Amino acid sequence: MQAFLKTGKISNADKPSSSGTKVVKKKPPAPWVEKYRPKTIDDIVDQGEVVQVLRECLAGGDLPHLLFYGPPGTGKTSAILAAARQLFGDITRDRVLELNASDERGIQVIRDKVKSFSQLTVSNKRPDGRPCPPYKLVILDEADSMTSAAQAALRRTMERETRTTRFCLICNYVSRIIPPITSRCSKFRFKPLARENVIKRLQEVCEAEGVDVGNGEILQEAVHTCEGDLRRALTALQCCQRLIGKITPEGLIEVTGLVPQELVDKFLSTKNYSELEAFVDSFLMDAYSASQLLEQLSATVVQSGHLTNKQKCVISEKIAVCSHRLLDGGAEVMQLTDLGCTIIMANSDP
Amino acid sequence: MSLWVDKHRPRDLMKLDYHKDQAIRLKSLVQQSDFPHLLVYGPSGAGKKTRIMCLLRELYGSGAERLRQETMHFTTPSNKKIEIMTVSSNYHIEVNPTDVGIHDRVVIMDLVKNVAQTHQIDSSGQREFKVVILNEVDDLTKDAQHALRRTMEKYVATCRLILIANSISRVIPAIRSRCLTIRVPAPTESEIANVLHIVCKKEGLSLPTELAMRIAKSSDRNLRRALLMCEASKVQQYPFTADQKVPEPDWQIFIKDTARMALSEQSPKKLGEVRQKLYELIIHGIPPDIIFAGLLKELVRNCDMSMKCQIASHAAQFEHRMRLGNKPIFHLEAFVAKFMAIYKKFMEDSLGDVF
Amino acid sequence: MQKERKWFKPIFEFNETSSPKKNKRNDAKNKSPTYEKPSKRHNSNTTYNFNDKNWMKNFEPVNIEDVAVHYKKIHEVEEWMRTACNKSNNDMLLLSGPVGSGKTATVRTLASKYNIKVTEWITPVDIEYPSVLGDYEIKESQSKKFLEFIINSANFTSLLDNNSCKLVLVEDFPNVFIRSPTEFTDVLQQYKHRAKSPIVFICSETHADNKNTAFHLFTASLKEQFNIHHIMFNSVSATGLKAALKRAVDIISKKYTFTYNIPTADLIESIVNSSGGDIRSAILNLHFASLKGSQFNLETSIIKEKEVKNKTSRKKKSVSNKFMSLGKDQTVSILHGVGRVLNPKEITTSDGHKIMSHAPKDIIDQFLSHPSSFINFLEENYLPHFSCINDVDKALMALSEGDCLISEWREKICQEYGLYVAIAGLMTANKSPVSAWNPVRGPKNMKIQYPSLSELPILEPNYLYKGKVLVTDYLTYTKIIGS
Repeated sequence: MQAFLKTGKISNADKPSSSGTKVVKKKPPAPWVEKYRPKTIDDIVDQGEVVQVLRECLAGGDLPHLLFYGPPGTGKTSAILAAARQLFGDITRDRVLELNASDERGIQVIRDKVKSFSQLTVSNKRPDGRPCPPYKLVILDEADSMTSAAQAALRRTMERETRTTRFCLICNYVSRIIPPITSRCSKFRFKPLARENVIKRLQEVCEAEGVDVGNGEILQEAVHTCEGDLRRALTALQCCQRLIGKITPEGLIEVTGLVPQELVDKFLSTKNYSELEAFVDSFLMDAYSASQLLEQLSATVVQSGHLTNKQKCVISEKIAVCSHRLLDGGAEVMQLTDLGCTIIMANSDP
Repeated sequence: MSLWVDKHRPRDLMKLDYHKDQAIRLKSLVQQSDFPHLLVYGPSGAGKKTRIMCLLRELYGSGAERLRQETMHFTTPSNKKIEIMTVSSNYHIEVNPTDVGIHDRVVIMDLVKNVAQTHQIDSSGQREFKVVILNEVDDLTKDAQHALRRTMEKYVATCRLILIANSISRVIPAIRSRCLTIRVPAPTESEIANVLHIVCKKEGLSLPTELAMRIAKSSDRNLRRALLMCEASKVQQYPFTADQKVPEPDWQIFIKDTARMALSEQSPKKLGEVRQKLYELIIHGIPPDIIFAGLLKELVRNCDMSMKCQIASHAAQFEHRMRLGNKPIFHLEAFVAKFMAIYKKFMEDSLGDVF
Repeated sequence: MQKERKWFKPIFEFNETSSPKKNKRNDAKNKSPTYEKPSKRHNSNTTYNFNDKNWMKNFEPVNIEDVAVHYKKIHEVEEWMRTACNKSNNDMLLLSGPVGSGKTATVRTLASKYNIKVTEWITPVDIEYPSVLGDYEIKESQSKKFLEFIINSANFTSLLDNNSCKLVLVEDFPNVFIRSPTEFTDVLQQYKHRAKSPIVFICSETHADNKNTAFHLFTASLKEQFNIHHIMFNSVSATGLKAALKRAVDIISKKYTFTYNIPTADLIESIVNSSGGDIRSAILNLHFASLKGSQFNLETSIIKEKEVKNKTSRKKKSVSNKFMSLGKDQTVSILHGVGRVLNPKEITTSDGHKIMSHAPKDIIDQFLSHPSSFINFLEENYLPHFSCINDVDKALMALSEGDCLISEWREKICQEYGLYVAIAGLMTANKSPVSAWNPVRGPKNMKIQYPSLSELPILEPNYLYKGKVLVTDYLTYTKIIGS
């Protein structure tokens, strides 16, 4: 995506959040996620309060430091980009510095790049003489992946340069931002999107792209597989369209790497060790992802009707341990066997 | 003389023996105006590489098959010289970044940069980009994976990446979401048997169906291993008989022996002998996680359920620690010792019950 | 009053200065240096006689028999010197060996025996400073000066003495040669052409840094080109050291009893043990250990130590431990450390608690600089000490946990914790130790040895075989198929 900016084809405001957007090519057609990114804050799906506050800020021409948090794909990046564009218009490129987790963002960068950018004073007039806000905007996307040292370095800068610069931090987990920073920002929580709004949005995009999605069934499926993440749903739809040529439920499962629900259920109802061994073998041979299985399993266990609370506790605890180990790079076969054993024991002891 | 595996490797997407639907999709992908980064994943011997080579041929024509081997040199920021083997054609380059251990990040960044900055000389070629194939992406350090993500964005104009992984669990989501992911499941046993028949027919041999099935079964759904087994069986005995011995990989036999030792006696002395065996395995390059899995499989055979559960849980724990630590032998040995302690207690208890 | 005293302390001090002044004046009258004041307690005469600044000279060998080098080596050098000086040509000799192995002493003693005049090059300090114009000129002059010096001293006899034989000694190599060895070759070339006296080069080998030592100037080809005779010295043997120290003790008892205490046999033993074959440091240690005035606390502490451990086998160890601050061997060797961890000794203190004779904390402090290599040693050697699999299990738990922690490079403190977990775990795990002598083995080299592709000719050369796949799939079968 940086390449787009380098060639200057698209203005800075179109710079996407890096997490989860798909990079496919240098020429249009661009990823749908980019193509259909909201242009104004009023296009943002479903975040009534946030939009309301932002609108008032924009009308007043002033912004506080912002901290957006919430699950992925709920429009955090879109909101600030749209707001920036409305504030600065065509000089957005000069006024906005966006850094995301894929940029170097150690303490050194915070010290040098962010500091020098924020120290510049800007006028309250555009080159053509029209008025604009007399400050710049630094957007730190995926701020929760910054080290706490870098965050600490940021806090002095934030305080000192308030006159010339506003900061907007975007993260999934507000608990990973150090308290001195959260206290300096106005916090906005982005709610998970309501299903019908997501479907409505997807339908609009599909119509614009001329893709046949039939009745709502497939979109329902898409939203379900992507757990309300609009970006992921859009990316999945596009991948599916590219790979298969049309959008089908099976295709969606394939491109998102989901584990078919019947496999999840089978794993959960394993009775003995040899069955478990066979299951784990064939599961991995079919190249499904163990971490994905754990994710889906967790949801299934929590909602399951036939498990007792005690069983749910035991299994969920093990799921947590195993997914931690998987994240650290543990072998899938070991972790699945371990978890499977726990499930067998839990099943035999309701 | 080349091995059957290499000799009979399909070279055209349409001639693949299984996952034919996927082949058609890949072909249509090539025909589209743009080509995304790919992440191809599947177990060992499922045919990932074969599909990629077919894809390259589809993209660039037979020029992609003229390969040459080179050693490339890189310098790390700490001024350490590292070198890595690459295989390349005019259109693509393939490396195993994990060969250089913790310096994989440097290799990835420099290599992709080099490739991306040298434009295709032959502009009449149908593609304006080159392809970089990276093997074992799931074994890359987190650092390298993050670097990869940035690199993918930066050089998208002149270079496409094809990433190969055994499992996507260990590939960070940021990379997954930037690639078109292609899952290559291992062939089923009947598919393997089918391929074996086809290959034998080409070689002018007759292969009994039972033998084909047996080879397919003992190959762990690994087509490469199945073909090698078949060829090795042919060398050992031809004409084939339905009940002839299928040679197992020697390291599997070795792991089984090791497990048997641990079962036979539970004492520090025996552990010392087991340790020697483990050393052998590690030094010969058998990945420690495979040793772990093999040991677990063999050791739990005659245990009751609660013991199996305990042992599996310890195996998972030690395997995880092995990933965190840097001395695999510590954790393998610790697992065997743990097993011995549990097993000994179990034996003593059950003996106590008898009397 | 108290407060006032504090506030006006300077005044009080001022008042008190009169008495030290007086003392000083007294001292000045006695012509005894102030730093030797404490020794006044014993005997004011001793301080006088200890004015010999170069006390090392007192113990220098006079006869060739006194040199603590193997007589064959001495003989070799002697032979060379005789022939070289008789022919009075420009032969070259290179002496190399560890620090303090007696190279210089051999040359000097032999030279005085045959009445050869030794001229030694000492790199002047002033040319070390780079000039404003850049250091090219300096380099030039440094090597030029060196060349001039050695040729002049080789060819021209001093007016003051009439020695027939001359010898040039180079022990201190100008830095410029280390930077550009070719210049050194040029200098030697010049010397070969113009000089008429033999030259001796002395190089110390240190295993610490292999680079930047003068020893690396003398490559094999260089030695061949100039026909340089090379004699290698070994470090001084224990018997040689003992003999030399004995001689020194003799000298002390004859001439310097007022300066030194006569060292005990134990002391000499411990000095020999701790010096590691370095004669110079052995003499130095002897000097400090037996110097009057400083010796009392040392001596008494040794005796105390001996009282605690009266086992004879322990004695030597404890003595040498006490002298750690004197000897060069300051660290506990890794083998000792392994022994302490794997054979933990418990001591019951007076109030009934059991404590380890070597606390884990102390051992950790010794090995913090290389925790992973120490833990590797432990892993390699712990097993024969155990008799019960349950204990082994506990020990390995600790080791495995320790390895994880040590690998955590982001937090420095984790290394320490990791080492602590591993060491303390091992020390406490073994409930039924095997008491047998087990030699300490070094850890195995765990580098993975992938088969080279040349061993497996049937593989397609241009297909990138991944290490893992090569081993797990191809290796077995290519062997069968290829046979």
